[in-house]
Amino acid sequence: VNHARLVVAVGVAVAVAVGAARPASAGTPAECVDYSPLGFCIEWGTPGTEGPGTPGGSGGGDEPTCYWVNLDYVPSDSTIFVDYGIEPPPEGVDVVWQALECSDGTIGDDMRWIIPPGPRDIAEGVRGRIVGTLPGPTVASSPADGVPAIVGMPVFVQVTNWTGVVTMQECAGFCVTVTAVPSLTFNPGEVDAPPVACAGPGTAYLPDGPPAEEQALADGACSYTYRLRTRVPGRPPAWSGSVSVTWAITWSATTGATGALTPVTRSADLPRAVEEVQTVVSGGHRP
Amino acid sequence: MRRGLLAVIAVVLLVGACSGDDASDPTTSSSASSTSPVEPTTTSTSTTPATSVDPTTTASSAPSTSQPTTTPATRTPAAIETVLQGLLGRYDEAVTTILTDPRVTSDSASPAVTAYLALFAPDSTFAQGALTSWAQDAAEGRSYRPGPSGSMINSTLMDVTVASDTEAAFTVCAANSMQVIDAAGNVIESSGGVTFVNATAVQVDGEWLLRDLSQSSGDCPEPGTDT
Repeated sequence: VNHARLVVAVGVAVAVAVGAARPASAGTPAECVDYSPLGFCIEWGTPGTEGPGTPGGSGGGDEPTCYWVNLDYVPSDSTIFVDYGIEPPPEGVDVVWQALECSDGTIGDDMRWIIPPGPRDIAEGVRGRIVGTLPGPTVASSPADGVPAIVGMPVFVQVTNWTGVVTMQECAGFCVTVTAVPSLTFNPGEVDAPPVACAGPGTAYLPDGPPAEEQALADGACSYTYRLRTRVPGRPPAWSGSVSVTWAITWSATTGATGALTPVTRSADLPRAVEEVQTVVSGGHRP
Repeated sequence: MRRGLLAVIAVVLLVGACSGDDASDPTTSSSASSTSPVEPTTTSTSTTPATSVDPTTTASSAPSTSQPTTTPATRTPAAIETVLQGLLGRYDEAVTTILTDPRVTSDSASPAVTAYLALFAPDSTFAQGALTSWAQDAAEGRSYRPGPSGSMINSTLMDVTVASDTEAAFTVCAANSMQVIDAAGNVIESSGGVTFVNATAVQVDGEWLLRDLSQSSGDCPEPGTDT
C-alpha cells in the first residue's frame, strides 16, 4: 500500500524536536546533547564544520532539523497501523497524531500518536524549531583574523550575524512563548586567560575613537590584550582562541507555567598568533 | 516493505556497479548490497581501498548477538559493509534490550550496557550520553515495547563512504515500531516508520566500531511499500 505523503499542519502545535544535528567546530569534538529513544543523536551541542557521518568529523554537521509536527487530521486509513507499525490508540482516549517534518522541506517516514502534550512539551518543540535557526557566529576582529596581535595591544571581537533575542510562540488551546537570549563569550586561548564576557554582539574597534587601550577598558568591551607571544619554544604557533554565543532559553505559557530549557551554544575558532614589537631608540644623546 | 527495500537497493546497486573507479577520489562510496541476513565473517582483503562493490556480495543484517567484527585488513567497501551491517544488527539487539527495561542502565556492568558499549570506540562520550538519556527514561518510569511490527528497531545499511583505512561514514534506514509505557503501565505513545540515520564507524585495533549515529533526513523506502 502506498500512502500519499502526509500533509502536515504547520502552525498548529509543534511538538518535540527530534532531529537537529549541528555543525561541529573545526578541531572541536562535538557532543550530542539530545538523543532519540533509539539512541540516535537529534541535537549536537557544538557547532563547526564536520558532520555526522562525515569522515574526520566528530558528530554534528550541517544537517536539517526535524520535528514532530501535529497533523490537522486523524489518519483514517487503517493500513497505516500495519505499514508504520503503530498501535491503534486506546478507545476513548484523545491523542494527537504527529509526523516528522524537517527544515529542508522533507517529510519523514515516521509517525506517532501521543497523549496531548503539556506546555513544557510544546515548549521543547518550539525550542527545537528555534535551535534550527541559530547560526554559528560570524566573527569580525581587529586585528583581522589571521593577522598577528601585538603584545600589549588589545584585540577586539564582534559577531556580525548577531540574532538578538529570538522569540517564537505556538498555541494549542493555550499559548507557549519560548525566548532565546544570546550572550557572547570571547576565549582568548592564551595560557591562564579568563573568558571575556562581552556585551551584546561584541566590540568593533573605532580607528577614529579614543585610544585602543581606552576602548578596551569600556564596560562590556569584547576585547583582550595578549601578554605572551607565540612561536617561541614551548608555545604554539597561535593561541587557540574561540568565540561562543550561548542562547539561554526560557518558556512561559498562558496557563501561568514557566520554565527553562537546555541552552544552545554555537562557537567559532579564532586562533591568534601574537608577536612582540621591540622598540629601538636611535639618535638619542649618549652620555 | 522488505520487497520494496530490496528493489530500491537493487537499483542503487546497479548504479554503483556501473560507476567506474576514480583514483583521484580519496574516498570510496558504495551502497549496501543486500538486506538478507548473512553472518558477518572475518574478512581478509587487499590493502588498497576498492572503489566499487561486487553486487553479488551480500551484506548482513546479523541477527545474532556476538558476531566478530575484527577485520584486520578490512578495507574494501563490500567487506566493510558486511562488518557494518553486523554492527547494526548487534546495535538493534542491544538497544532493544535497554529499551525494554531502561533501568538496566543504572548498572554499568549489566550485560545490556556492556553489549551496547562494546559497539562503540572505547570511552565513547556518544555512547555514554545515550545511556544517560535512557537512564532518564528509567527515572521517569518510562519503558518501551515493540509495536505491531514485532521489533522496535531493524536497521539496514544503505550506503558506505570509506574515508580512510580507519574511518567510514555510512547511512542507515532504521525501521521502528514501538510503544511507550509510563510508570503505571499505560501506553502513552505509539510510533513507527522508517528513520534515516547518518553514522560513522572507526577502526580501533583492527576492529570496526561505531563512533556516532545521527537522525537526519534522507531517502528511505516508504513504510508499507511492500504490501
